[in-house]
Amino acid sequence: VKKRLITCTVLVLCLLVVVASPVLAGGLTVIGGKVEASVTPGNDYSYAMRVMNTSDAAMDIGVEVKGYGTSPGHDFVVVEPGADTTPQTAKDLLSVSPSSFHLELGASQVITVTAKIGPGIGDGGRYGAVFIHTAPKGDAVATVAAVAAGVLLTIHGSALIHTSEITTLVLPDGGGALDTLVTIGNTGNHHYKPTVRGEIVTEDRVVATAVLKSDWPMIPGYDRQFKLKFEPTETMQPGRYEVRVKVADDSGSVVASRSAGLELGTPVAAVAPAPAPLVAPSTTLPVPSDTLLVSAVTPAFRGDPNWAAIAGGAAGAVVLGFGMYLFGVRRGRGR
Amino acid sequence: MAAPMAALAAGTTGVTAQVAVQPTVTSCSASHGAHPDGVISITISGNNFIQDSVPADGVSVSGSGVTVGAFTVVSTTEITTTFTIDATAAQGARNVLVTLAGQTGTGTGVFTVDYYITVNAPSAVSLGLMTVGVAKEVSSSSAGTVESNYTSWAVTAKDANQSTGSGHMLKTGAVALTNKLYIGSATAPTTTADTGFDYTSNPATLPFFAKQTVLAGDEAGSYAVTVEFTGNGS
Repeated sequence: VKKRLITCTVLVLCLLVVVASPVLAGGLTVIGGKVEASVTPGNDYSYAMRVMNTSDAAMDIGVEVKGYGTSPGHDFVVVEPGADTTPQTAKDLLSVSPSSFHLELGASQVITVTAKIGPGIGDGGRYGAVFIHTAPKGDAVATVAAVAAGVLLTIHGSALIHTSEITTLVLPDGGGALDTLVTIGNTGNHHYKPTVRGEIVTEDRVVATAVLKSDWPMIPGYDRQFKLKFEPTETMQPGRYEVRVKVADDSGSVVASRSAGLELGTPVAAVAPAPAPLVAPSTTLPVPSDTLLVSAVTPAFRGDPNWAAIAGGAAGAVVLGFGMYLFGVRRGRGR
Repeated sequence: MAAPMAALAAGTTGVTAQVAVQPTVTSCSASHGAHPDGVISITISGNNFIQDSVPADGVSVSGSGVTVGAFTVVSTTEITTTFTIDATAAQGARNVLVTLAGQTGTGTGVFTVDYYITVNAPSAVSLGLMTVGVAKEVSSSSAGTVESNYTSWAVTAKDANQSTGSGHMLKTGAVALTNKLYIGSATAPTTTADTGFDYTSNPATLPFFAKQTVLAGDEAGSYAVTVEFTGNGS
């Protein structure tokens, strides 16, 4: 009986090890992969990014300078150099070193990004992306891990123009929801983070509102699309309304606006007011506003053990072990 | 260890008392760090560091997400310790606070939490032998992962080839299958590989599906495509 008990205990411990083994995160890691800086004409600037191999095998890494753009479907688009033709491109200003290297498991490499800002560079911002990628794995549909680090340079002392255009306004189709698609193009020479506000008006009375604030910048020369989800403050009866949309930059200045008529065929019910949003605690330092907010992102902590699974596994293992022990005792008594 | 104390004469009794001097913090040996760095060894430089047994003594970092390990007062100008940064710790400059003998010194902005992003691409997929006119859909046996402390992040999946033949599986000589490859994060993907799609926020895993149909006019042979999973943040 004692021998069986020891055997059962060993089996239970083995089972616990299998259940508790965490799935390790891994892959291509880039630290400091964002440059947002003010630069003075006639100077050179260097920025450091660190690349780490956090995967389970050695990696060959390539680093290239590409364009930084957006599209209606993507908040960040890596633009091939040949297609990066906007006046605000930084592709001719930026260089990277080294452009390729090998990283053993757990090793890291510092990449130096150099920006040469000529004396006659002009006004506004300059935009590029440092594209860091692994070599393809697989043959039919191979996959590559990559990171695009945005480079946003503001020419110090130059005229920064924040203007935009609402190129399309796709109104609700009367299906009940009041979702409105707004496509905005940055026609200025400098980036900004937009706040898009909409209201639906009838007889000079606002009956529905929507606000959308984006963490992603509008890059000059590129479009982005936003979906405004209008929430009526009162039941909207069939009839004619006006949809008004305004786009503001970081300072709150309106940079674009547009309105259009909306013919509502079916009533839309009022939406109950939402509870007041939680306010994130501020830090003790005067840091940029986007760092004061608690990130809405909840990354997967794949390196951490799943305690619920471990607890469940442990409980199961204990029950199993006890059952095996009883089974062994009964068999021992039966002999 | 010698400690800079101010000795106060207490009248004519001959009794003296020691009063601690406020420590100052001037710098950290590592001025930047991020979650993937793991446990970071730190030497804090300053002045008036004294060894003391008051329970309130300690080293801390402002804001949330940076855990400080046990510390040692090496000298009046150096303290050694460790910083460990949480996965979600917000990017930005932090103050380092040293409290010794009830006196606190603050190094304003002497340590910065950096942005980071880790992208692990989903495993490659194989379509095997294709039958003309029959769509085949496959998925990665292991999904990718992403972890980051950017305020917002996205991972864009699309064909690495953005020039001629983009979106198509190609074989030697740039011969392309007639139909484009469809890709997505769920079954029945509806986005062509040249356009691609974004994974945003949650979930932080990157499941991957690919669908291809071969037509009667397509040449026999082996075709391939490379899908990039590009992480970026703001």
